[in-house]
Amino acid sequence: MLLIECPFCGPRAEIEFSYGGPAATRRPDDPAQVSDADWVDWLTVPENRAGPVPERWCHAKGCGAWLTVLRDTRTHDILDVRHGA
Amino acid sequence: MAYDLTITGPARRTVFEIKGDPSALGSDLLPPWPDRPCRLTRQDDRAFLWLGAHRWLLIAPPDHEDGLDAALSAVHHPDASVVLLSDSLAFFTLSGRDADVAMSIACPLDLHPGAFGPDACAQTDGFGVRALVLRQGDGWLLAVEQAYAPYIAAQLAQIV
Repeated sequence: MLLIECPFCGPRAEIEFSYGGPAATRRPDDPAQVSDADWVDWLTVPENRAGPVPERWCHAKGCGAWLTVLRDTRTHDILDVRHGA
Repeated sequence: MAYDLTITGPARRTVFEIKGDPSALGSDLLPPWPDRPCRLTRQDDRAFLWLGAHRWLLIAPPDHEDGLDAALSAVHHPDASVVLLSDSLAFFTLSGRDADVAMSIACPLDLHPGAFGPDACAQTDGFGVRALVLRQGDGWLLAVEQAYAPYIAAQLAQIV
């Protein structure tokens, strides 16, 4: 169980949050100008490295805010939490 | 094991959701502002809860609805949105010596008085669904979306 420090609500259990995917890669500004291969890479091949990774989480059962969480995939330590993307 | 626990509900209360800047609505209609997030203030049987960065709830007895609705509707302001949610939420009250034990089963928060005082409130998880939790007297008020009321009633009945 992760304990995520929501900037508004304080520390809350993982079950109050919904995972929103990796936050590292930026969505292409104009998908029509992106090749099919690059689009598939962006859409379905998220970075999955060992170490701190930025992720989007929504405090769905709490204040409803979208957060960017820096989580270490080796230890599950939450290193940083901030509002928005 | 039998708990010393009394559960009432589901019941309806007057609930208004305020988004934006509540100061735009004036100070006559609302209790004083909570000074911190996830805190509430009470005045004249009304509770004013700060639940999100720009989101508040005003909870009042059912017979306050018409008066509050008329008064809040008369105050139009572009910086504040007011939505009547009374029909959306179902309220359960838990009282008795073991009310804290029942709440510890329902919800993952630390509800010890040292961590969750009389002026605390939270939107959290209650039996797996989004729930509003606050103290009421020597017990608790638990509110969920109306559609989940039968499920919550069944879960609470299992505790008793």
